[in-house]
Amino acid sequence: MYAVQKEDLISQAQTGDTYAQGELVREWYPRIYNYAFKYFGDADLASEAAQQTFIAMHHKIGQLKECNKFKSWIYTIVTNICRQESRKGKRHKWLSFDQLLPKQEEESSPAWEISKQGESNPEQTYLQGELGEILTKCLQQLSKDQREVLIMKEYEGLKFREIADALKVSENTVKSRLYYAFSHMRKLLAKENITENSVRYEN
Amino acid sequence: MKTEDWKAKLMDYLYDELNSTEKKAFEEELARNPELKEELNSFRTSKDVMENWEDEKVSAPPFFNVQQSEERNSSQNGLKWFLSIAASLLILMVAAKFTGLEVSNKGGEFRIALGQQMQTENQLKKNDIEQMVSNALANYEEKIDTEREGNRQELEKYLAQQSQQNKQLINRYMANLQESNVDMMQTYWKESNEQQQVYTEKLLTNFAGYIEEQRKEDMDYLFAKMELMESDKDLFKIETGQMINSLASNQQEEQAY
Repeated sequence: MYAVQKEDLISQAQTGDTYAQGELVREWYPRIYNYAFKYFGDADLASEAAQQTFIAMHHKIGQLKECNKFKSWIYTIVTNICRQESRKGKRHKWLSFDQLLPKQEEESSPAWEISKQGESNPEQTYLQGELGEILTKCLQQLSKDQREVLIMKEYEGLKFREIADALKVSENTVKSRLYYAFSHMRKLLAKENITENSVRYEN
Repeated sequence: MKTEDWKAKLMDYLYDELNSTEKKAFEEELARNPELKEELNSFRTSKDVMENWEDEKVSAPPFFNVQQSEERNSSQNGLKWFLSIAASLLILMVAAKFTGLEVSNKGGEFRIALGQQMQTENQLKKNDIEQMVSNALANYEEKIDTEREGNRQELEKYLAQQSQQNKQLINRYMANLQESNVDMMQTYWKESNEQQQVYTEKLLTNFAGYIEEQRKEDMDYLFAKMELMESDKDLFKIETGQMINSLASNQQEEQAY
């Protein structure tokens, strides 16, 4: 679904070719960031986790035995980092300056005015933001195991085998966790009055 | 009845990861089991909702890009250095060819010539150079002495002028000071004389008054004394008379006896 592994690029990166490593970062950064963003529901933490992931990748890529397992391997790293950050987050709640300072745009202009470049439909942007907030809230209410599997499968497009490799569990465990994640999400979305019809209507 | 196996198959079917046989078997089960079908539909609904959430659009931070470009460049550094040095040498060789550069190192002498080789016969010897240096030093010392003498004379002349000017300045200042002192003293004496005259006159007037007052008091005293003397004389007369009478009476009594 997303980035295609380039095994030769990975092999070069393993030999210490920093250009190849840079290319891997450029290719994989959006995927890893979005995984962490959905995991935490926080852009700062996601950015921090993504950067730590690529630093770890830089140090450990030589230890990767099979290049075709790179995808599972990098999701193992980011998942471990997300778990660590999540444990830290229980002890320390970090606030960025953006959170502390008043958001002028929120006070002075409607949300559709600050739509990102390239997103031409302000209404679509607004609805995306609203849906994103609801789904973030729902995902945060899932257990970590269920959340990891659901994000990897639904948003990262990993095969069940790849998820099992990344999480070091069996495929059946992955499917079981995903089943319970869906059961839970169904209830949470119903609680938020989000149905397929409402989303289609909005679109 | 939901078993773990059916849950796994449901997930496989939801994500279309069953092979054709398994898929057919599962669809048959769906047809038979409305509860399973309902669950599948509800999961699909949730999946459709979740699919509508798009990714955040991000790119790798500048740190990674910078590192990438630097590292890309560093891989070619060796070749780049080699080419740079080769190019520099080529330019030097071409320039040497056009300028007729000749470099030689023989007999303990390192020579670089541009265009035409230097004629060593015309070169100066060590003694000549020493002579030239000593002549130049002597000329320089002479020049320095001349300049020093000129400076000394100028300095003396300047000092004499300054001294003369200072003397004139002091004399003029002293004369002015003297004149002003004389004027000041004259004025002072004049003022002082006048003040003393006024004071003396006032003193004399006061003294005359005092003398007059003293004379008057002395006269009063004399008059008082004279009056006292007159009264004493009268009293003495009376006493004298009384004494005479007494003596006379006493004599008469004695005579009676």
